[in-house]
Amino acid sequence: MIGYYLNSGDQKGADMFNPYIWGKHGLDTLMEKQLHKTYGKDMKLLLILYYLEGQFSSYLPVQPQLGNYMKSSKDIRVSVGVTQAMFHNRNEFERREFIVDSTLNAIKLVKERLSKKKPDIDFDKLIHDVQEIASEYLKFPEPYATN
Amino acid sequence: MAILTNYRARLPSRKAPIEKRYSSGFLKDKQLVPVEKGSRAEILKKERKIVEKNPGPLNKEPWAGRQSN
Repeated sequence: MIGYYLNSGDQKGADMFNPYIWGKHGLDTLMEKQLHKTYGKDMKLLLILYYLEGQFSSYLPVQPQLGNYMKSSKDIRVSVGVTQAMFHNRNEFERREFIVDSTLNAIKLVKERLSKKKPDIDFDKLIHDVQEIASEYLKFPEPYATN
Repeated sequence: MAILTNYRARLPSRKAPIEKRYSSGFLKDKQLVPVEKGSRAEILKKERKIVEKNPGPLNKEPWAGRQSN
């Protein structure tokens, strides 16, 4: 249901960011196991695209940007810019908080965008489930990236 | 999680960002790490060399793998 894509400005940033999403205790890893496959027939994938600031970064959205809802594939994208101040320079717990906050914010943005169309998507249940998984995600002991 | 390599192999336009060339389903669980920055001409030359020597599964160009042996 929720997927992630990372466009990193450099290898160092990618290595730093990866464990928080796809690591053993990464948010995507947890959601793959615990999140339901579907929250309604009108949404198959909510893709969150992270653009990480780095040596070669060329695009860095200041505010999260919503893409168009694709009726055929039933997916939507949200682009999130990640600056050094927002992630690299934070401690481990704050980084995890950033991942959770940006994910929840993306869901809420999509909910607002699609509200007029009244789609068959249970956003409230999705937000509730993500919040539950996030509370577990935030509890893993540090050093997080090596766990 | 997979890493996108040879990502310019399906380059249709100089302006379109890579994310617009692929479906959301394809981009899911992938990461892109640029390794160099330069003019289009420079990068295309380097890309051609890489494709000739070490092509990926999406490289269908006639010169893909020409120098691989």
